[in-house]
Amino acid sequence: MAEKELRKQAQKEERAAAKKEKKIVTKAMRKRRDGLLFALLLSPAIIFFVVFVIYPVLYNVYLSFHEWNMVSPNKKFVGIKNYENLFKDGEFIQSVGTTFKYIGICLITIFVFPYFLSYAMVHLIDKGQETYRSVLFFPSLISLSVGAIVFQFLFRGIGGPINAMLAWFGVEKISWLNDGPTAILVIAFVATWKTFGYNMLIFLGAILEVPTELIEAAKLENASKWKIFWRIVLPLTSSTAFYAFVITFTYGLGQVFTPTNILTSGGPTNSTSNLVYTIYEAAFFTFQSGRAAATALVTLAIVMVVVVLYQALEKKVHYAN
Amino acid sequence: MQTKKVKNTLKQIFWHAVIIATVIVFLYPFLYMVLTSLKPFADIVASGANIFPKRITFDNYIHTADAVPLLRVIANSFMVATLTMTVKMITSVLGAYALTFLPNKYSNKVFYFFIITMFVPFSVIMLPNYLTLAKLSLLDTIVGVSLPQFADASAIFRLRQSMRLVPKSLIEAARLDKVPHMTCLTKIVMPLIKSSIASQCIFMFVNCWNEYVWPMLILRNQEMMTITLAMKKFSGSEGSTGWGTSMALATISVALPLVLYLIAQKQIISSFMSSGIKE
Amino acid sequence: MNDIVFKNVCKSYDGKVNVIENLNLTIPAGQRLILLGPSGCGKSTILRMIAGLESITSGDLYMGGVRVNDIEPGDRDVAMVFQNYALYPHMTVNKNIQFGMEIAKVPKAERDKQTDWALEILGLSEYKERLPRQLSGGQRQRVALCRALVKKAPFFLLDEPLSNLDAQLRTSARAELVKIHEVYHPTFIYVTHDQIEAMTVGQNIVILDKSIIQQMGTPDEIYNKPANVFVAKFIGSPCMNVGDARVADGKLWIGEDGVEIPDDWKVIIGDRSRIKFGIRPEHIDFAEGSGDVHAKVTYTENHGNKLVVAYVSGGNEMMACLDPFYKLGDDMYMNIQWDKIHFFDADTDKNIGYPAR
Repeated sequence: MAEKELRKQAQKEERAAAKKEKKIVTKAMRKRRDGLLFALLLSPAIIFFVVFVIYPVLYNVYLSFHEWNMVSPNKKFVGIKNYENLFKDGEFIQSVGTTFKYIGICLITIFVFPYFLSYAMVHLIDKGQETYRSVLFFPSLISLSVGAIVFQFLFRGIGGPINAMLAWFGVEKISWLNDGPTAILVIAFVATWKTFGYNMLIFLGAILEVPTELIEAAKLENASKWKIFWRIVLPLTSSTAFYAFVITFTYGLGQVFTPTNILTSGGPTNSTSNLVYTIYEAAFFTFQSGRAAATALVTLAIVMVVVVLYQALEKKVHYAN
Repeated sequence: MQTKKVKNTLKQIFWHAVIIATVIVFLYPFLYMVLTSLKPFADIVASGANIFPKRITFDNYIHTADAVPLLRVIANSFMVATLTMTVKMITSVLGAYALTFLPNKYSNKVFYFFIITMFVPFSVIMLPNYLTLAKLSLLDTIVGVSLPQFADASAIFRLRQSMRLVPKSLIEAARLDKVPHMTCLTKIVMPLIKSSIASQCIFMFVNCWNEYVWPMLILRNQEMMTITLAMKKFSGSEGSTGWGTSMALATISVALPLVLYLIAQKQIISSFMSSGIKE
Repeated sequence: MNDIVFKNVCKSYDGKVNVIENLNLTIPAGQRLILLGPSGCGKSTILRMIAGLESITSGDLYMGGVRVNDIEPGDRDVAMVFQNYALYPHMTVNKNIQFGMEIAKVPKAERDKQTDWALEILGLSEYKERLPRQLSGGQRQRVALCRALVKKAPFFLLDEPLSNLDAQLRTSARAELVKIHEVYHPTFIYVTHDQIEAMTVGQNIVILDKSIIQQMGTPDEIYNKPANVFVAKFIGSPCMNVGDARVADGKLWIGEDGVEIPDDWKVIIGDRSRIKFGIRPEHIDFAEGSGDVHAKVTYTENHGNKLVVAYVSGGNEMMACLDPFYKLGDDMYMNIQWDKIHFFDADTDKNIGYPAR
C-alpha cells in the first residue's frame, strides 16, 4: 500500500517539476496560437458584419418573396410578384432614372471637378496647397442633414440668397425646390458639398505620388501643363481615379437620400424620388416590406455590377511602376 | 525675358483665383449659416443675398432652448457618438492588428470579406437591421442606434495603413523576448500610432455626431432625439419664423466638429490622402 | 559658341543662407565636363540651375551667349538624364523616347527614324516595345540616354547617371557615355561623386567642396597638380598621403629625419618653416635598411595586384602601394622622390607650385 502511495507522490512531483520547467514553444504551436488569436481579434468585427451586413442582405432576399406589413404575424409567400410589380411601376422606373441623373451630376461635380482642381493645386500654383485643402475639406465634416437644411434656406424661393443673387443678373426667381429638375440639382448640390472634400483628398494623394522627376523630365521637353496632365499625371493616377469613381457611384447612391428626405420627400410628384428613397418609402411609409426588400436587392445588384466591373477592369487600368 | 516671368505670374494668379472661387462657393453655405443665426428675423428676409448682418442678436440662440430640449438633445448625440466611437475603435484596432501582424492563410479572405461589406449600400441593410433591433427591443435606445455601427471596414483599413508603418523589426524583437501579442499591441504599436488613433477617434465621433438617417429610423421618441433630428424637426416646417433659430441650431451642431477638426486636421487629412485600398 | 557662363551666381532657398555663393564658372562648348565632389557640395544644384529646374537668386547665367535666368526649362534646349532615369512607367520604350519629339510636333516618320537611330547606337533595338518595368537597371539607363540623345540638344546634362548601376555595368556604361558624346559633341555636363568616373569620362573636371570650386582642370592636371589638399585627397584610390613636415637648415624634416632639399625646390618652398607634403601611394619608394625617412609598418593588405602597406613616418600615418611580391623587412625606410612629391602651404592648404621641368 505504501509503495503505491509513494509512486503516486513521485508522479505528482514529476508533473509539478515539468510544469515549472520552461515551456518550449514549437513553431507548430506558435502557428496555432497565432491563428487562434487572429480569429479572436477579428471575431468581433466579423460577427458584427455578419449580423448587420450579411444577414440583412439574405433577409432581404427572403422578404422580397413575401408580402408582409411588418406588424402582422403572417407573411404571405408571393414568389416574384414584388419584382414584377416593381418593373411595371412607372414611378419606380422614374426613380431609377432620377437616380442616374443624380449620379451623372455628381460625376461631374465630385469626380471630374476635384480631379482638375487637385491637379491645379499641386502643379499650377506654387504655394497654398495645404491651406486650400484644409479649407475645402471642412464641409465634409458637416452633417449631411445640416447641409440639407442650410441649402433649403439658401434656395428659398422668396428671401433666399441664391435667388437674390440671380436677381442681380436679371434672372427671374426660380422656385428651386418646387420644380423637378431644379430640385434634383439642389439635392445633388447638397451631396456634392458633403462629398467633394473626400474625393479631393484622394486625388491629391494620388497626384502627389507621381514622382517629381517625371514632371521635370516633361518640362524639359517643353510640354505644356495640360499635356503633362493628360499624358503623364492622368495615366499614372488612373487606378486611384477609377477607385474614386466606383466609390462615388456606390456612395453617391446613398448620399442623396438625406437631402431628398429633408428637402422634398421625393416630390414634387415623385420627380426627385430615387432608389434609396423608394426603399425608405416602401418600408416606413407604406409598410410594404416585400417591395422594399425587392428594391433594395435591385439597388444591390446595380452596385455589385459596378464593383465586379471595377475588379475586372482594375488589372487593365493599373499601371505598375 | 521679362514677358515669360510676367506670363507665369499671371497664370499663377489665374489659378489661385479659380481655387479661391471654389473656396468661396464651398464656404458660403457655412458662412450663411453662422451669420444668419446672428440676424434678427426681420433682417433675414430683407437682406436677401447680403449675408452680413446689419445688427447682431443672440436671440436666435436663446430661442433654441425653447424650440427643442437643447441640453437633452446634445447629451443624446454625445452619448451615442461616444459609445459608437469607443466600441468601433476597439473592434477596428483589434482587427487591424490581426490583419497587419498575424498573417495567416485566411488573411486575404478576411480582407476581401471586409471590402465587400464596404460596398453594401446602407439602403440595403436599412430595413432588416431595423427589424432586428425591433426584435431585440432596442428601438429608441442609445445602444440600438450604435449597435450596427460597431464595426466599420474602412476604419479597419485606415488603422491598418498606420500600423503597417510600424517597423516589423520592433515586433520581431519583442517576440524574441516572448512578449505576448496583446502587450505588443498596447505597449508598442498603439503608442507609435497614437496620433493616428486620436484622429480616427475624432473622425468616428464627428461622423456619428452628424448621423441622420439611422437615428431618424430608430429614435422616434422625442426624448431620445439627437441634435440632427432636432434640427430636422424644427426646421422641417415651412413656417418661416424659425429661420434664424434653425441656423442657430445648425451652428451649434457644427461647432463641435469644427473644433475637433481644427485640433486634428493635419492627421485626418493625411489619413485620407493615402488613397485607395492598397494591400 | 555653346558655352555656359556663371557670373557671380548666388542661390538661396530661404532668403537668408546662400547655398551657392558667388559662383563664377565658364564651361567650354563641346566638351565633357565633370562636376565632382562629395555629397552636399552643390554639384546637383548647379546642374539643375543650368536646366532651369532651380531658380537663380542673384547673378547671371549665360548659355550660348544668351542670359537664361528667366527662361523656362523647356526653352533652354537642354537634354537631361536623371539619376533615377525618370522614365514614364506607363509608356513603352519607344513612346518614352518619342515623347519630347511629339510635344515638339515632329512628324511621325521623322520621330521613328530618330528613335531607331538612337536605339541602334545604344543596342536597345529589340526592346522597343517593352515597358520600363520589364527592363533591367542598365537597360533603363540606356533608354534614358536614348531619350536625351534624340533631342540632339547642344547641352547634355547628366545627374549621377551611373550611381544606380552595379560596379560591373558601370565600366561598360562609361564607355557608352563617351561614345554618345562623340556622336555630335554637345556640351556634356556630368555630375558625380565618383572620382574614377570623373577621371575616365571627363575632359575637364570641376571639383567642388561646400559649393566652392576647388580646382578646374583636365584629369591630368587634377591628378598630377592638385590645387590644394582637398583635391589631392579626393582624387586617387587610395588617396594621396598628405603629412606635416618642417623646414630647417635647408632640410626637409619629417619627424626626426631630415633630407637635403634640392635647389630648385628650395626656391619654391621659400622661407617657410612649416609645410605639408603630399605623395601618392604608388609613388612611394621603399627601401630596407637605410633611406631618407624611417617608416614604421603598422599593417599590410595584399590586394592581389598590389601590396598596400600602412605605416607611420614622423608621426604621419601613410599608405604605400607596392609590388604584390615585395618582401617587407623589419627596418624600412621611405625615400623622397623629388620629382613625384607635392607641397602645400601649412596654413592655406594651397599647392605652392613646382620647379620648372
